[in-house]
Amino acid sequence: MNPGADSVGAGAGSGADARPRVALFVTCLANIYRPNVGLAAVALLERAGCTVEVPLTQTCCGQPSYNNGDLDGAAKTARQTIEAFEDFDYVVAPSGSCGGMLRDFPRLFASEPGWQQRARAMAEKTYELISFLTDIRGMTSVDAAYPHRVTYHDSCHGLRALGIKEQPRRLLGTVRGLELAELADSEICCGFGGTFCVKYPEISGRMVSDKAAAINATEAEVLLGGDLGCLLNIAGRLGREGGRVRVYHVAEVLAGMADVPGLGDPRQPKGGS
Amino acid sequence: MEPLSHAFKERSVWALQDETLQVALNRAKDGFAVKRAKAVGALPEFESLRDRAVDIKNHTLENLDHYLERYADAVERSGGKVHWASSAEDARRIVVEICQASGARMITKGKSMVGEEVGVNGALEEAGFEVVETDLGEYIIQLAHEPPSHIIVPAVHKTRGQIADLFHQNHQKYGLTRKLAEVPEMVNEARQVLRDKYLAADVGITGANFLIAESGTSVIVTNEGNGDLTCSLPKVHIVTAGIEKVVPTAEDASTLLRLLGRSATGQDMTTYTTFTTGPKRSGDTDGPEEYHVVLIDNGRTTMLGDQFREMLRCIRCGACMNHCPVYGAIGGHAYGWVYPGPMGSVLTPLAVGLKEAGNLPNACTLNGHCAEVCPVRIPLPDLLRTLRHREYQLRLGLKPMRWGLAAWVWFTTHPRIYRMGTRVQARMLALLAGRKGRFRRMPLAGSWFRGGRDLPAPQGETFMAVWQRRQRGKG
Amino acid sequence: MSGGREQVLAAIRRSLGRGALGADARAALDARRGATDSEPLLPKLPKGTSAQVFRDGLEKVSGTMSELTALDEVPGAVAGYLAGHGLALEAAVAPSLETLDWAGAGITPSVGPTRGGDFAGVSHAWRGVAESGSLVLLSGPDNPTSLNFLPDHHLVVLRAQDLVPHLEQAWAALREQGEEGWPRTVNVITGPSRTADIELTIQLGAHGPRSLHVLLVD
Repeated sequence: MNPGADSVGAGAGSGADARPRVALFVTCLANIYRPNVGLAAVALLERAGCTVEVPLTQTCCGQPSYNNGDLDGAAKTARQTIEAFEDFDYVVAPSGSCGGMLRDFPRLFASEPGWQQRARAMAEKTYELISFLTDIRGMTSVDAAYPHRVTYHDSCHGLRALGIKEQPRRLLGTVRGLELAELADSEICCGFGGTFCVKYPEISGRMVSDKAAAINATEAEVLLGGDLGCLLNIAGRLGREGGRVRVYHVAEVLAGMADVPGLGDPRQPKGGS
Repeated sequence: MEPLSHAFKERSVWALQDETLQVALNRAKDGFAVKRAKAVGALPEFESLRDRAVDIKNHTLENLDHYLERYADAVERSGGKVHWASSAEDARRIVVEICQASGARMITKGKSMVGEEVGVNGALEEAGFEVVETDLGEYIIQLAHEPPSHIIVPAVHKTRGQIADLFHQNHQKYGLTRKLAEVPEMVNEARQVLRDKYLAADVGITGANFLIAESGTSVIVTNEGNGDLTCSLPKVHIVTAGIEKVVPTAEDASTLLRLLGRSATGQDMTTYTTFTTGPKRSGDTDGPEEYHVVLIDNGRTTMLGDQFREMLRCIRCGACMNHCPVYGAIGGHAYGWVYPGPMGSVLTPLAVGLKEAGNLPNACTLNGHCAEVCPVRIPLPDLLRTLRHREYQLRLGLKPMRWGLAAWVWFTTHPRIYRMGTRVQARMLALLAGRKGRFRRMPLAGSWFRGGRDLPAPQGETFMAVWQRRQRGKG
Repeated sequence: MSGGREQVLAAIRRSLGRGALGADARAALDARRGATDSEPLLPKLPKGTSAQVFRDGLEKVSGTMSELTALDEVPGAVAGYLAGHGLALEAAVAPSLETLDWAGAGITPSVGPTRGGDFAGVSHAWRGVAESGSLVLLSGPDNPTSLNFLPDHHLVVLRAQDLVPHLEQAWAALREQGEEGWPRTVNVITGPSRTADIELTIQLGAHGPRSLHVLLVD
């Protein structure tokens, strides 16, 4: 391991699991909107002693179908994902929402025992990125500096389906110069909700403006979170209000890769840095 | 009542624009959640009690016929009479007939959600009775001719100013003409007006929080004491209860009571928990002469047999709506029927049909807060998703949504095309957004922007493109 | 009405996918100790005597309490309470307490139920529940229910020996009373009447008593 790199617990350096093969499920939103999140995830996983691979045949977790009643469609998409990912030691996604969906796959195959078995086997080794780093790889600190006052939004699916709450805070606590200002109502939904935000835009709009108000009240310079869906929604609102809070995925900060414009920020002219 | 759930979208927008309502909702927003969290935090056994409560409810539902028979037989032994209503219509008819047979004129009512569900008040008024709701919140909305907007605090959507106006308009006839401003004087005035009603009532109708099979006992909890005055002063007491309210023993009810108060209002125990068994006994100097129980099915047996059986565990505490951000934004009336919030979004489509109430299960972000606080662990988001599935199968949803989903599934099962398509999309959007890095509007994506937000632009390349290039560089 | 009964029960059985339970199955259900066939799950109580825990629970819900050493002291304590609240020395008193020396304390009692004309009602609790500071009152000729709800001030006599840790012990005791079964009402009362129906502002004395005072007799 690199000297001075992120400190990883004892489990990571010994035994058969010494260098597990981890498949990154990058998620649609990171793939399209924010490749930097995928790169940050890869960097963190590598620093946690993993060999990272990115199956090229990956697409979507299937939530749009699953959450809109098209269970057959969700199952079709899920088969695609299972075939692409089932041979790895672990499947990791930089999203509690998509990671949670992968864990829900067995439900889609109630009447197909063969597929259900495969879905279960994959679900059992699927994790959200930050909780994988801390809970499975024993990462206790990162080697990164970020001298800013930040606040953190707990995305609902990660929080409630996967129990992600302390893990990102523990790692953020080791980022040099970072000051965490807790967000009031950090556990209240931002109003994204997948297709909810376009089916009921007025309600969604109210929820995200409440969220923006809570963020502004922290006087943080930066909002962090673990799910790009929520972050796009919140960044969109903060941008509309003309505020100066920047928005990043937590992995970007932990990997020391938040030196690019935040979500929805003006782009830097080419040739810089 | 006639459901208005089909108009959910319009009603929710009105609610968001109703400034008075928003004041009331904002006041309520944190109060409940904070109180519940405090009460739950002070009881280390809370999680084990939840598990126990789930077991109690599940066992009872699996043997529902047995416990209902035991309950009904015990009621009859104690001198009461049990009536069985398969439908809302049966329930209304039975209640009206009991009131007519007793020669009643004036009827007081304790808050009963099943009473609202089957429309008891309307039927009684149509039959010529004077009906007075006695729970302060229910009384207020009765004066306003509105349905409840919350199952525990029916008038939570009203401000004190609106309530003062209602009292001013409606209490003149009692010689109470002063316009009130403060909460204590309003509560006192309602107390004064309703006290006479209690004493004059011929029939009292209450709901039941639990029915105890072993003793034929009905249990109601109130903080005001209105339920007690309603069931002990008139000469006839009628209990209206859903069949899922039965539990085997008083101990089972006690376990559920520990969860109910804490989940609903953050109280360890609600002020008055009243266990009623039959009419007055020989020698009793007060209490009703007749005691009737109307056991109501109205769709519950259907739920017992399908994917919604777990919903029958519901003890009507309101915690789900108290923690629902959608309910918190729009209040209860937008849902358009008797039960609002997450539990209402499951119950309403089952009661009035998905065609009428299809919006309700969809108007949810699946954030899971409701399930997290539900004392009987009802997986509300899963049930809502099941309703969405049912809606999809019945082809009731919007067509463009259906087409969009089909296209997306095709796209996601063709990875090469998916990679190419997303690559084009990312580049196009980044290009169109230019330096600004975000969109203030975009054709065909109006709904996103109607939420009062910009759309951040992509970075430009897809992750897969970056990754493939990096791998080639390594190779 | 039996048609309705059979119709609902048949619908339940259809949904449960079975017919009516046989006699053996029903007897097995009847033999269970509640739904889960196990001891009730009773929360651990805070440290302290039952009276202390009870008092804490009662005061948490705005109830008050005075401790007496003998039943004879009740009329004097009631008189003290009434005088302290600026009330006339009158009270509606439960027949079970009729034999106390009310006149000796200067109180004019009206014995029996009330129709609302009394400012104070005095009744006796069958049990007190330490866990929640609740009173358990049984209705009957001795203890009319109306006393618990119509007067503005509800005073309740509770013997210290009748304190139980949890509600469950009260049910066990009630069951032991056997034959007669349950009285018409068992009122479990935890504090004075309250409402939060207007702007969620808690206001005592909604429809029932504005204050609840316990006289704990050792």
